[in-house]
Amino acid sequence: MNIQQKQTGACLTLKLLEQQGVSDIFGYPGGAIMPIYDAIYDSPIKHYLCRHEQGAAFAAVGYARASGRVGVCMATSGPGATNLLTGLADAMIDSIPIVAITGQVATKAMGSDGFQEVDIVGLSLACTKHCFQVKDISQLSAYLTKAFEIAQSGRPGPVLIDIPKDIQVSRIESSLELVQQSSQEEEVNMDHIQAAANLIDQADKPIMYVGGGLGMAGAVADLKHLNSRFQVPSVVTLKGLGCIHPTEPHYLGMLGMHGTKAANLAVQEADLLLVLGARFDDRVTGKLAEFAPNAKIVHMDIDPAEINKRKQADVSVVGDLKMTLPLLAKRVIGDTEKIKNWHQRCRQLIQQGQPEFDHDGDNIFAPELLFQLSGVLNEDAIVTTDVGQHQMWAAQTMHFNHPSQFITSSGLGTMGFGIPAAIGAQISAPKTQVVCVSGDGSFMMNVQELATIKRYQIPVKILLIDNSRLGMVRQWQELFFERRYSETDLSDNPDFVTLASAFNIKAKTITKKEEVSSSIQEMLNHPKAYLLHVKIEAMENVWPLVPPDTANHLMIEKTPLKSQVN
Amino acid sequence: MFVGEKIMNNDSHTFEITAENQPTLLERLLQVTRYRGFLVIEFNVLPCSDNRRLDIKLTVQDPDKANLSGDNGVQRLYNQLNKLFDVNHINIKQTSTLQCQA
Repeated sequence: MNIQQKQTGACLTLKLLEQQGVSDIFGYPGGAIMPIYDAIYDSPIKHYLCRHEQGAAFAAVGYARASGRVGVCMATSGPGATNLLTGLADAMIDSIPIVAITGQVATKAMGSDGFQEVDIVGLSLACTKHCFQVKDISQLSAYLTKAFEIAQSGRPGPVLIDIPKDIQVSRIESSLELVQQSSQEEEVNMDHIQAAANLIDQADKPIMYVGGGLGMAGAVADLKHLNSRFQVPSVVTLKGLGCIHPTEPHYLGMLGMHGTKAANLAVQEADLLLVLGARFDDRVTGKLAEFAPNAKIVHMDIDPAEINKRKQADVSVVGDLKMTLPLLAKRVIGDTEKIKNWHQRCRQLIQQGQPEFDHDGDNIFAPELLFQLSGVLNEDAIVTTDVGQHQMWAAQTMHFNHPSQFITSSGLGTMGFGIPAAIGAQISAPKTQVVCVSGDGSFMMNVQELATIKRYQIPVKILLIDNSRLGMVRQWQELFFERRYSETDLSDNPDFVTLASAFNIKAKTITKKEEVSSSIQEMLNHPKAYLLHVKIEAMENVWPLVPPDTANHLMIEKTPLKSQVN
Repeated sequence: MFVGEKIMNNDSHTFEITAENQPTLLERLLQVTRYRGFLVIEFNVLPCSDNRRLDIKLTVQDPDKANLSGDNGVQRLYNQLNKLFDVNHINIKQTSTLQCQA
């Protein structure tokens, strides 16, 4: 079906977005994108005005991660466009499908160092999966359609499309063709599947190392199915949290720098790693040469470039886990008796690492606070975090039923991510409980988005854990820089309750353990946005910790908090 | 330091690439090559007969193999280049050891 009508590039852009099923956009207007904003005025697509383009990009990321749909953000040329870049880099490393639309100076002015002109296509090369610049209105339809296809296909990622202002206002006898997504049936190498199954069946100490790719592939249920037949002990990455429920009997928790002792020791002892949608990130492996030293490796991933990138695989299966995992499950014989002793060893490791929250004194212990919060959240609640100590405590103590419920900046580790990501998540799922766990450093990095919360009455809850420090950096200064606390003291933070009240957000500060339970309930029961400001001790550290360039089994433990595992 | 000193005793690898003639293509190829730790020794670009695509010969060397854990650095670069949206076809044409040019 063709819809023949003469329309501007701006109108066509909105129509094409509609055609892609876009219902929500996050952005900020400016000179070079005004025609598109004019078209938004009449569009059924809802635009959310964020208060900084970086906030818009993170909102799009949060939206995409919560919904599984493509997140869309837009900005004007120059500084508007450059402000999107951190969000694009975040989406790139965490494989999040977003489309960023930027305005550009008119084609005749391009290359003249015009007002608010920047080579955003050049700047985005390193942090996008692909980028387009529309030089002729006849390209617009194909480029925008392709942008959505690229963002979602294979390993997802961000795509930028730069639209000069004259293209936005020029008219075209457009032929708006119905989208035909090119579906490419992947060929799976069945010999590799069989070889993988053989290695799994031969192993005495197999372990699954599950990353964010499993959830992105929509293969969580397929893994559960495999587990129901043959329970291979499992560990997850930060982005893999939620892929396996913590109550699964042989689940050892998160591995890596702040992973559980059980997870890290089990991986070091394993004779086979079944790697599902993970990429041997340095925060996961510790000293790479000593990571899982006795293990053969079966690596399954959609991105062939991840195979043998950091660790050589004995068998690799390239393809969509949604397709390859069921094929593997059919080929694995799964002799539970054969790994009986390994199960026993893993249970022993889990039992040795039971969580303990016996923190002395009246002050609030953040891991215990987050454990309590996790226990009272709705089953389908979404938690976003910022980056730092609070993020690791959340990862260690909170339980999730699905990876889309834990939205955290994993690969890039971007402070300022939490609040806008929560806004995006809440907009994608208006009836779902959304909580942003933040720290006092991160909170201030996109604090302007409280205005977005106010404007759209977005009922996100913010749990602000405040140690008046850049806690993770301070911790490293304590441990590795001779306690030279350079520029990590934030004791002159603003009054966060007053700050929230300026945006009509109800807020409260707590300092004592006895206040935690009732205050969490008060926050969650409040029908609108709420900020719970929690003061904790400045010198608290995240434990365990694998020091830099150290094997994971040499982790340091110095705290009652020993594990996330039930 | 002489360029030749860097090249000496390092393997070079040549990729033959056919790709869509898009404005960002060459920058992307060079950006990926640099980011993944390789130096460009030679970069030849010719239009294909259809004028829609380019034939590219990209010769690179790995100046610091220690950073790329093992001997598969060139395979990793191949994988990254092969992912690029505009790249239609790529193969590794040759691997050779360059002689001292200092």
